[in-house]
Amino acid sequence: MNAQFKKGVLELLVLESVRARDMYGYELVEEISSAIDVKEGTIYPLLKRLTNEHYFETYLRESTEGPPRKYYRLTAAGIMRADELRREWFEFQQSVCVFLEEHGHE
Amino acid sequence: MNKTEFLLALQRQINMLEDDEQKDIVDEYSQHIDMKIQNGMTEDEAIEDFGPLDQLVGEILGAYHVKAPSPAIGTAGVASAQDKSPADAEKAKGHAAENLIAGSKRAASSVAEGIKKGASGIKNAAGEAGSKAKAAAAQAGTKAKKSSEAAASKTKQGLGGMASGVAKGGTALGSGLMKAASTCVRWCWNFFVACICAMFFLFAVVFLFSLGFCLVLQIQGYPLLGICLCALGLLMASISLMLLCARLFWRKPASVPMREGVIPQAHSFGASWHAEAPTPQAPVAAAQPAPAHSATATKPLPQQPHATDDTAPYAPIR
Repeated sequence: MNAQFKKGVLELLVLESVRARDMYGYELVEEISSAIDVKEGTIYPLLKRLTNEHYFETYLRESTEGPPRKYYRLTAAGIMRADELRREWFEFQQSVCVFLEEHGHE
Repeated sequence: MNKTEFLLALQRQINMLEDDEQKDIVDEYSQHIDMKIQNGMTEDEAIEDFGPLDQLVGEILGAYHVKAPSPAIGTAGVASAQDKSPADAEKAKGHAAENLIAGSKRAASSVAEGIKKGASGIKNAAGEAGSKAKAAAAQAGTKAKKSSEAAASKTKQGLGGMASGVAKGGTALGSGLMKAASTCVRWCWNFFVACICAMFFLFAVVFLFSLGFCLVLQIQGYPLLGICLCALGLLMASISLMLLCARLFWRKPASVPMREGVIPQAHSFGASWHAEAPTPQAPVAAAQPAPAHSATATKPLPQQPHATDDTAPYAPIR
């Protein structure tokens, strides 16, 4: 898949995944990778940026399988950002589909 | 590259970040590698999944709005570059310290010059003000002397008239000053009240906007009912306080209309014009005729005309 396509929707997918439930980094990478093929190294910087921009807040939860895991939770600003991206995505998708349908058989 | 080498290289490339942030990032990737190993991958495979280290570091630093290091420095050359950088860093630190010291010296000297200039300016201004005040006092003294001599001569000529005039002037001046003072106080009070009203009006506008915004979010499903109620309460309080302050305005008192009968110039039958207010006159006996010579310019005639004195001659009006 085109890397630019993936780069464009990655933030939306990450926000929507964490919106459903709090996740830690590896779990989120696995969730996103099931939808699109993305480099795992790209997810963590994105999580860091979204945390610095106060869309996420983090907390540690003890784990029986090793050291405490850092979980990510969506803030109110993150919810608004996710809604905004979701709306923009559907508008963008619709306009691109309409364009392709109009120019598809020319 | 094994896990330890990868994490060390990663930490070296992000050493410009704060220590807590570096530890956080390294722990994240360490956990990720451990989980991949638990799922059956080797260390090398888990590290290769991250992609090139330079690209990874660029993306991590981009999250902090930090410019990534030059891509020419690969993982193999990281050690040599890091070896050189401490010396360069020390030199740079030294230069920076020198620049800082020079800049602080320049700033201190400019501040001192500014203070000296200000002090000299203040001295000059004080001296000029003092000389001007002396000259003005001298002029005022000479003027006062001249005016006092003229006033003394005038008072010698018309002492009685001056006294009454001064008294009248004093009362008029006093009333004028009182009016001016009350006007000033009224204006100041009204300005103060108007400022407070404007402040509460702004508060009301802000709370109204907040209420609308929270209501929209509440309708969309966000749990903001409490905030909506708070905004509504604050809005009502702001409006109430604004109306209260509006009632505190000090309005100019209306002028008292002239009463009938208080006109200083009274006109009665056979009487001449007087400046005095009419005084209540005792009823004159009907049997007594009014003498003609009594109706003079200085004595006011009785207000009530004589019932049986229609034929009495009227005094001439002067």
